Amino acid sequence: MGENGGAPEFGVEDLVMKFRKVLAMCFLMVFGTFMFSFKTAALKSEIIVGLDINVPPMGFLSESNEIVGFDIDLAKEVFSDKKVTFQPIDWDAKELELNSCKIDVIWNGMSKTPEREQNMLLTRPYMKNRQIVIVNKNSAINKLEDLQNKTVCVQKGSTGSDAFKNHEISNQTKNIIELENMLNCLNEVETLKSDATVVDEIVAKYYLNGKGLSGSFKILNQEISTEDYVIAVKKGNTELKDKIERGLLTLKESGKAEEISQKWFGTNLFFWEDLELTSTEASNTSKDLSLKPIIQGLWVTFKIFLFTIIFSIPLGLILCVLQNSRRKILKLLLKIYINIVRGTPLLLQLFFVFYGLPYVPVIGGYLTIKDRFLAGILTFVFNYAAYFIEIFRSGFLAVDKGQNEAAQVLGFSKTQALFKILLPQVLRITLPTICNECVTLVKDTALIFAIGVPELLSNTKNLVNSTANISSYIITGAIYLVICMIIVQIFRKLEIKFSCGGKV
Amino acid sequence: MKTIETINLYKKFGEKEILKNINFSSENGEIIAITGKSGIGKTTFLKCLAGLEKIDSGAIKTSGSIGYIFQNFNLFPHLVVKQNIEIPALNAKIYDKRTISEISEKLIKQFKLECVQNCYPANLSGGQKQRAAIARALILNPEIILFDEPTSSLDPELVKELTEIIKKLAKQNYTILIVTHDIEFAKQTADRILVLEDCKMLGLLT
Repeated sequence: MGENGGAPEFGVEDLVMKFRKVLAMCFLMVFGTFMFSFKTAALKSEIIVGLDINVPPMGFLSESNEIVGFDIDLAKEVFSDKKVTFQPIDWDAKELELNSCKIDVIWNGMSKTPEREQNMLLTRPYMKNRQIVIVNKNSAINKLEDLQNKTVCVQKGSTGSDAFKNHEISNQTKNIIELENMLNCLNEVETLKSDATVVDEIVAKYYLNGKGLSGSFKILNQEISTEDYVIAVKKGNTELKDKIERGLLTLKESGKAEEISQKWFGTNLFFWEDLELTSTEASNTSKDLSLKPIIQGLWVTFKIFLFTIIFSIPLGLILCVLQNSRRKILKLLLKIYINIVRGTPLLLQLFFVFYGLPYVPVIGGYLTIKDRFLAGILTFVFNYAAYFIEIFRSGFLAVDKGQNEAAQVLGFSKTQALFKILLPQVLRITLPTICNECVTLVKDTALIFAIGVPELLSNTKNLVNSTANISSYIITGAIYLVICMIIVQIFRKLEIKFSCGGKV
Repeated sequence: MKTIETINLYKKFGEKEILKNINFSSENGEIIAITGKSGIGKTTFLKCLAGLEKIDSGAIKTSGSIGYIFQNFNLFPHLVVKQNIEIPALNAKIYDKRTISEISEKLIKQFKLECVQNCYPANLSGGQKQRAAIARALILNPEIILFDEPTSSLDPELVKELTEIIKKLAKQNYTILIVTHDIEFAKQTADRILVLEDCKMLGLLT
């Protein structure tokens, strides 16, 4: 392959130069975001209450698409003199939302933990709650000890999750799975993907009773922990905290609080201590930035990428060749497959393969994939294969018809023509497009977190939320960037290698 | 000895008749040129002979295999010249690898391709591509060689060279069939010139 002399060599220096530019851009963007958020905080004339809207009955979306709930009613009463906006947030990022002044208050059946006390300014408790264990009604689990060697799922970042991990029994379980919301947890238990889930009593009971699902589950008598519900504001914002506490006291005295509680729970769960709370000003020890979660996440991301590429390219190629066959049924099936895969979001496909397949009538039982990683890889492979089919099809169309004729008059069999003449040219033509897909895949791998596989981006997000230090985002951004640049360079080299004297 | 014979060859594309009952034959070592207006079906006739187009009725008899030099040569762009020449023989497994290599080296020498034998087709001149295509066709040792518009991408000087190459091949007992619209070249090269007109083959004095 000696005839590619004019190709530009790409050295390490060029890489660093490119890298620097992009890093500078990252910094600028982050800085800009901060500036903007400070500005909005200074100008605010209303109260923004942040909440996870998947937590009925505290705060959730009603059927008419309005945010309603026990906490919502309370907040509206307390801030009756102001304009209140309820902002749905990612529960994992609540500290970040608060600290960056995107929201003023977190009011969401949030339990008091030492960690939260350290990161935010908390009010006195206004409710008490227990963390309970819920299992499938047919489960043999009757007490906490039965959780040995079982799979337990929890809502990520919830008190139930933290309490369970701190409970001694969690060391004896088979594994603990963290999911985005409680509905997923209950779904896991109902479909027996997990053996048990640890959730808030108030929330779970409201949900199970309201939806008439109590019959599908069993609640263990022993609780994991008890906790107080508190309201959080940004550290140092004692003015707002005092306003909320004064407001709650007024609500208690006027009987309004009891009224609201009756409405949502049918009993008075509102609880307000008149004791003067000794405000524990937590020491502001910033945690060391550990790169371990990022490296672990990177390894998972790398595995997803590698498996997907290794399997989806050959699969796409084989299916593309089959598409050229004369069997009409095969052609039709492939067409349907390509259209479905390309016409629906990858995220939805991930949900469907992992959560939805067991519900397929009759054969659902055989389609259940218990391993999250495997389910994710399968989805990625079949998703990307569909795109590769079309990419290779365009490659075949781009090869001159004369090539096939030449092979024919020179006595090639159809297989020989395919493997020795067409395929090498198709691969060469499609290299730039394949490179594009690979780069897209690197970033798409982050979607696998939707089914509970922790990877680079989700681990980084957790790290940022737990350390309240945004620099992990920049590190991870740089990692993605470097991976993509390496891929682009590899493909560039391949293009030069297989240019065959033509243009690169 | 007759090398190619067509009996009532009939070909149409859809409803359009292209070739109507063509009776044609060629002798060993003969050079025949076929001319005619463009789009009249000259290339289709060659493709029918080579089996690249199916005929609707009639018959084609050939005494041996056919080599085909395409108008744009259709060299394989991902293989160097030497590989291009050898690959048909390697596929057919008519000889062992060493013999094939020896034969291809002879052909490379014969067609003056020594200096470009390790080059990709993209880096070849029109004349070099044509000679490589001829060499590639010859490695399967055909009896008949079909040329489709061989002068279309050649300088006048190279046309002379091509005439010589073709005459030499005829001397080696290859039957040569040339489709061309270049009457001058046809007169210089061919023993017999035929004109394709109104789906029929007409003879023309040389």
